[in-house]
Amino acid sequence: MEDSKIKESSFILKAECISQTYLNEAGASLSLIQGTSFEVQEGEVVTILGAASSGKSALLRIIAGIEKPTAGTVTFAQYKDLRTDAAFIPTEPSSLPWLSVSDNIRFAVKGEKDPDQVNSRIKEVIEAVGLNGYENHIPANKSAGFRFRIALARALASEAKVILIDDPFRDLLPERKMNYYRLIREVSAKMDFSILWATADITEALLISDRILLLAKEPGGTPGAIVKEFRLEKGRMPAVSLLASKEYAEIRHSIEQSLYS
Amino acid sequence: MSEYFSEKRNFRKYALFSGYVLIYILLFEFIIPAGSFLPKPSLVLESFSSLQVHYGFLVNALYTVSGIYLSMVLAYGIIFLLRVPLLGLLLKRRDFLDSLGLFKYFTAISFITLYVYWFPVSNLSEILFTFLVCLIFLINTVSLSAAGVKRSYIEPFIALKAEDSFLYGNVYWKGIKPGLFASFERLNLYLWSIVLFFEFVKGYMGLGNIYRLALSFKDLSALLAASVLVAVMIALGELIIKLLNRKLITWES
Repeated sequence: MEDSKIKESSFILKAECISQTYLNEAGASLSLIQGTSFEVQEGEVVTILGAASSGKSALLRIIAGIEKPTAGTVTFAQYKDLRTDAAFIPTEPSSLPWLSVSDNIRFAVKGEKDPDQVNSRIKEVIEAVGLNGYENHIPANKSAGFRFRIALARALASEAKVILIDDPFRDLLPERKMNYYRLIREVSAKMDFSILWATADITEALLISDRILLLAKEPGGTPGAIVKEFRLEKGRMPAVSLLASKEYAEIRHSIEQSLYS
Repeated sequence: MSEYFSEKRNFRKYALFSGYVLIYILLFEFIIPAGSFLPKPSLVLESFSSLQVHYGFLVNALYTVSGIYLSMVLAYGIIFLLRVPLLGLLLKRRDFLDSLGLFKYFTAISFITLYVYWFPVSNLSEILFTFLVCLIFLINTVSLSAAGVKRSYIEPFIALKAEDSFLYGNVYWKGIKPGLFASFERLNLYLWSIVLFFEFVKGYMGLGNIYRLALSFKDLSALLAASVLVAVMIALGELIIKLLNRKLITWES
């Protein structure tokens, strides 16, 4: 994929000085995110970790192009083959309940006119997320995990450079979450994309990330600013045993101090 | 378990309703002397046949029923064909619809009398009136339902730079369909009331005109017989809508 880049850049996604201000019901201006800048490198899994209402979701939606920021720019690395910049997986189930698993994915297969190639791409991503045999199932009344797999398959089918994932496992049992962390890591190792993940769960951030960006208030400062950054061993598979290591305990302690002090 | 309770509730509902009918028969056939409040049930039974002989019930019923259901189909068809620009307008220019919403304070009689004043009495003018009522009702439903479509269905497609025609024509449209189809049950009741009222005011043809004539002749048993038949037709319409709804909409919005 490196060859298809038009211009060599160190980043796959660059957010510069993003600010977002809302008007509340009383008409007063509320600043949610202020002057936030960061980059995501190719193949990297970056987590934006922050407390509830810290602006994580808003930041992801701005990068996805769903919301316009009050100030700042989002730049994606340019590719010759017109790959989609970003795919977005929201917290709530996003698979359309009136379409089969295959048809939910079909729209995202871009620029391909040959039906055989479209079907082959759909088959490939369905296999990657472990939904083989469920191609014709309708996602209505299926579990949150099943619907997440469809959303992930759709994102993969789009060949997005970055997949933006907004806290998808909030209501999932911890033991089930680990299966999905592994799935995402395996798929991201196999296919060529980066992940920007928003979560309020420190354990989740420690297990899934190559890098954690801590979104919090600076002491006496602005809302929704990145106050710290933590680097972890790149590309490792999530495992509970990692959490017991001294390095992870220190990072957790530092995160907790920043978030709760 | 919920089906069991639903069946039990339905059974009780029909049993109670049968009880009301039985009380009416006992009271007005055998106990209370014939008066001007409600007619004797035996007279109402006789009126079912006299409705056809004296009031031409079947022709008038066909006139009203075809007007109502053709208008529903036509209004749905127009909305379906124009769904992409319509949804674009409703979602991007909500202020436009909000401003029209202020007309809700004008009652049906205002519109009906103005319409009857403006347009000559004819079959076409009634179908046009019924169609306009359907169209306004359905556009309002589309607008309300579109605002309620889950953002999580829409946002992934915005991120993938989906075109408006795909977003409005597929995602939003399918998202609002359960609400839209459910609203046909309300529209059925609403439209019957409005159309009967319209025909009553207009005094040309239709079941509303039968009410007008029966009232002018002070034919109480014909009024009650017509009401029973109209209620049966409305209930049948609702049943068909429910069956279609169950057959065509298999998901929740």
